[in-house]
Amino acid sequence: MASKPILLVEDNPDDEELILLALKDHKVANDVVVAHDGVEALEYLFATGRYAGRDPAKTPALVLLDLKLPKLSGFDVLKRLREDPRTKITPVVILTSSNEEEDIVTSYQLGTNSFVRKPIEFHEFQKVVKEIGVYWLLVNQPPILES
Amino acid sequence: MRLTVKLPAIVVGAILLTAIAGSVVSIVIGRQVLRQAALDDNVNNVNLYASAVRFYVASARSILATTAELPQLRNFARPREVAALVLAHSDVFEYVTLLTPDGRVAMQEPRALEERLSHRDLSFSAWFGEVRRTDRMVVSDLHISPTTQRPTIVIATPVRAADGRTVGILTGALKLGELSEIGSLASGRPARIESGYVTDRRGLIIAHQTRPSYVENQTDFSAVPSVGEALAGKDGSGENFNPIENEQKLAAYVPLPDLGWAVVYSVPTAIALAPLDALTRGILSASAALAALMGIGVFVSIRRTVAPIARLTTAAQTVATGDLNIRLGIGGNDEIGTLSRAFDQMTGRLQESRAALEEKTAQLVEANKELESFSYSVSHDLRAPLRAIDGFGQRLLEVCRDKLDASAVHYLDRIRAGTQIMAHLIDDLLDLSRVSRTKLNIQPVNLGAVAQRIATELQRDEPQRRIALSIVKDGSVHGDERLLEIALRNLLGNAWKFSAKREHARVEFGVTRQDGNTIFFVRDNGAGFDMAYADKLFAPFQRLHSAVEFPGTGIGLATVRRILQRHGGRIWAEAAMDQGATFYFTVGKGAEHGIKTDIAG
Repeated sequence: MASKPILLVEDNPDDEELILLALKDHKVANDVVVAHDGVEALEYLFATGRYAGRDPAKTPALVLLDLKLPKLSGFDVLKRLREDPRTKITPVVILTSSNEEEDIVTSYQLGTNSFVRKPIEFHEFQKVVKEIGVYWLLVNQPPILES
Repeated sequence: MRLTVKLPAIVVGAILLTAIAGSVVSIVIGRQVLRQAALDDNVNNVNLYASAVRFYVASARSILATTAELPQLRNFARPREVAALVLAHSDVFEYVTLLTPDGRVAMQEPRALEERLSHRDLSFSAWFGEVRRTDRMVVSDLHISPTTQRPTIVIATPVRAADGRTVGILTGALKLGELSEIGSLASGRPARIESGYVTDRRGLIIAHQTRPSYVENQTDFSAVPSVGEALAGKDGSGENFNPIENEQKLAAYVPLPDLGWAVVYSVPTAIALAPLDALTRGILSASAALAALMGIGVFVSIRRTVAPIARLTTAAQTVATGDLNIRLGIGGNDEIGTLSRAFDQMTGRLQESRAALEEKTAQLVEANKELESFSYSVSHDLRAPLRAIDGFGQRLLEVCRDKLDASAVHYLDRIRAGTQIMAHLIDDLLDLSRVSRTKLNIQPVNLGAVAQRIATELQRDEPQRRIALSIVKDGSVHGDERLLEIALRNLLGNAWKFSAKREHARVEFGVTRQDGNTIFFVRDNGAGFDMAYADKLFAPFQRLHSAVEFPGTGIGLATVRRILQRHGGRIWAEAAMDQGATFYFTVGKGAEHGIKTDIAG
């Protein structure tokens, strides 16, 4: 199980580095794959384009998804992801700057498992990332679906 | 009922009524005229008939009187020859008889009839007795002839010898058939419907123009009113019921006083008035045809008049659904034309103003969209750099602490504090823009309960503070609970914050009524402010206290005011330096509900 990677979809290099730092601080063992836009995220998930040749059956343990992304938005990625039987039940946590009610409602309607706003204060930020990791990677019990 | 049905119905109804009234009047008058004409006819005819009868009888009497004085008869020399001559040269008698003074038949001509005589002694006859008694000419009543065995009337006269002695009785039997015929001759046309008849003094029919059988049967007409009148010596005309023929009759009658007879001319009312039926039919069918024609004409013309109204109605309904493109274009100078033009003008104006409104709305929608995307960008993009500043600053402190001196650490702390303030400002600005953009979800809200909930949270966050709290139990309004909670959280949070330096801090949420308006207030006994700056309170980024004294972004009250404005309410404040502040607000007149003013300690 621990071998399954985390997919981080984040276009902001600062946020990317801070999240990676936070994950490292909390000794998350999983590999982290970073996609910098929505298209890249889908290519990874469905093993196309840059990721052609990857085994698409190996779904990530967790997808951390920003909403505001170049090319395809976080909503579009989430929608495509939920439409595909392979990623239909992959855990997705929206991690974004927004706390707009509309964004929250839309995310849940499209099938996110969780919605978390990125705090500005770094300690809080670390705490949030840690809690996400602990909950989704350790506490939460996913179904065992090996192909 | 539709106008296109109602109006023609009214008009056709009026026409029909007029036609019916006209018909009735025509028929009544026609009946009167016909009746009078028939009666007049009868009067003429009865007079003519009576004259003819009188003349006929007079002729018969004169012939008989003359004959009785002839010498050949008086001396009974050749009576049969005389009688034969009389019968041959006049057409009034059926047979002539000569009687002896004691009533025996001496001779009857024609001889053929004499041979059929049932008896020769006629002395028992009423007329014989009368002649003997009066010694004058007598006209008999109707009786059965012993000669012909049929009803007859005889005229009998004494036959006198030269010395005046009565030597016999001469009689002539009237030809009653002739008497029936002469009436028709008198009127100059064959009488088949109207008919005249004669009765003797007892009312028995002597002659009848159309029913000879009445004579044969000696029918008694004495019960007929006309006959009764005439027998009583009166003449006249009128309508009455004939019980013998069981018929209503129009009749005229005259008496023949010297004979005691009655002459009547009559016609059945039904037949006399028969033309009336044709008249009635004619009038009714003409009226019906006229009414139908006029009805159709009126219907068509009213439809033509009303059709524009129907179009107007349809158009008005179309406009009611929001379609303003409709134009009637009905011309004419009548009221409908004017109405139509006014209607077209109205829809034109409406369309113009709606187009203008739509343009404005489109602009507003566009502006709002821009604002939304701006807010969205602020939310996402202004915060990201702050996270980087704070995150990497913190990282610097952690990783390079041993390489940094105290002042460097201090500056880094200041940098990080700045990012926190900036983050708050951004969040408050987002709140402000959100309360302006978000859709109101109006429901009954109990402000007292909301305030209690907020106060409980505030106490939990600062458990060390002792505050005398008074919150009205019930403050029901109609509004968006989420937004009103933001407003109350700001106001109560301020009261909390600005009374922090009081030893005996007091915070109150209450309600009061003024001029029928429900006014809520949040009061504290904290720092207060100078009323000179009261107008600046509710503008964004305006602060009356330094950030060192009381932290804050200066956006809270602007947000509160925006929320209350959106509810149709308003907010104002009363305060004095160091004497606390009271913020009054209303939630909008239409949104109020019942208020209970129990105060909780």
